[in-house]
Amino acid sequence: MASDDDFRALFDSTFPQVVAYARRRTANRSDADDVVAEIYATAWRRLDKLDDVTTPLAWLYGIGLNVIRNRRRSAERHLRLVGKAEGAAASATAAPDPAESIVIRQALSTLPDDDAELLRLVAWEGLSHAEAGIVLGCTANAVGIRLHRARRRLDDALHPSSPDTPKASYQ
Amino acid sequence: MNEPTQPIDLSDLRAADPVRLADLPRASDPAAQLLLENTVAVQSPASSAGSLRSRLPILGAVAAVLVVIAAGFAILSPTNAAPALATVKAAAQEAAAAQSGRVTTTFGLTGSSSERGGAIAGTAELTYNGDDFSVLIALDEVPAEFQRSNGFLDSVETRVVDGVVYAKGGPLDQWVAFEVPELMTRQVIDTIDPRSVLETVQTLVAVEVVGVTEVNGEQLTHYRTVIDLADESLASSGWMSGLQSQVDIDAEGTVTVDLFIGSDDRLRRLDVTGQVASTSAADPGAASFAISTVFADLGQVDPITAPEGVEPGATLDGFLGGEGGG
Repeated sequence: MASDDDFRALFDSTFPQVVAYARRRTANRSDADDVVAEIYATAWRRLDKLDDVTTPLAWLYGIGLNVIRNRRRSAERHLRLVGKAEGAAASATAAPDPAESIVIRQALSTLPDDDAELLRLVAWEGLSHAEAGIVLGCTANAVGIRLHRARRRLDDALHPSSPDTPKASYQ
Repeated sequence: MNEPTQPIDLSDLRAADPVRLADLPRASDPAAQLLLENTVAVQSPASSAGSLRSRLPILGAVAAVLVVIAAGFAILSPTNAAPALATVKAAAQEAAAAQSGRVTTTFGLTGSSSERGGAIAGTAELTYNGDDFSVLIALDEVPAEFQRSNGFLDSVETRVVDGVVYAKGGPLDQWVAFEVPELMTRQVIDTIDPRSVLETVQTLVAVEVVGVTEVNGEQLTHYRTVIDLADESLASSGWMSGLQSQVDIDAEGTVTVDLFIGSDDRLRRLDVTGQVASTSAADPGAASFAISTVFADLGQVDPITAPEGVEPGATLDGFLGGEGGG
């Protein structure tokens, strides 16, 4: 059975990555701090499951996925859309952001949630297909297929077809 | 026909990462350590009961009942046998270890103070599986002040599934789901979770065997202990100091706890009865209560499910204000 010390070790070994995960998905650092707190609070009360966790970061990201989803539903009512996090996060960074990066993040925010999340997990969190599968509850093979599709959709969003060309709708 | 679009190179997406690694805090930073300590500390059921009761009256009714039950466990009875105590603790430990179960609590509380009096009585049926719960409270008697000030419902079903709180009952003829902050949900779970209450049985220092009695057609061994709140040794109990931080325990009287255990050494029923009176001249009052809790289907309950087709669409404040929604 995982102990208090195990949880502290988990916290020490994952904190920066979890903060990064939260900041990439929230509009500002205050919201990100709330998400980080909720992720660890959930992990703490599920401490009995820690012994079965093979990839702690993927486990925490999986918790974070639910936290973000819950907050998004709430934020939609309170006009604090987490879905706008891509653009907002860009403005929150200290260093000047290349225009291309802003365009990419804006395009990412137009994708279906599942596609955008998968792209973030692989590109920004640096997860393998297997690890992303743990977060999203699917197989590594399914991640590969979905990732290819998501990348293509992102490219579509970055390079819209001419007005005469029918466009797919993802929402 | 359009040409298939080539996927974007992931390196382009990596370059668009809005987070600068150099800006990230470290786990050793004071703010991070404070978060860690707060996370660990908030898990304590005792630390959450008070704020829960003040913020969520519906589940707070259950919380109040369970706090009183917990109070019954603070026992330092002078006459008892160690084997009986070991049996009781083992039974409670096994019940607390079950990941699922069904708990039915029948309660009746009557109290009065210098300004008002009132009674609350009813039944709470709680089913749990992991961190998910379903609670059905049917109140036979409710203080009028609750009905007026809090829109207190005489019957309500509440579920907590994946951290979302669902409620139905009273003026709400359909399910309403609430977005509740994670930490508050944690407080709810900690407070209503019977496993948390059962763990307090481990604080017992003695019980006595009353005999064998038949309950619902089953022969059960009956254990009992009586708490005298005037017992000065209670004051030195670490558990007692924790309780005092949550509820006003400046009182005298007795609390009797009866535990019924089956031949399989499993806890079947727990009864707590008592009569207490405030010893504070500034805050006089008295209360009597009787609470009976039946444990069943330990480890045999199917997963709790969320009501179908219900999405969080109401604010907690709106609901507590009697507005409902959904």
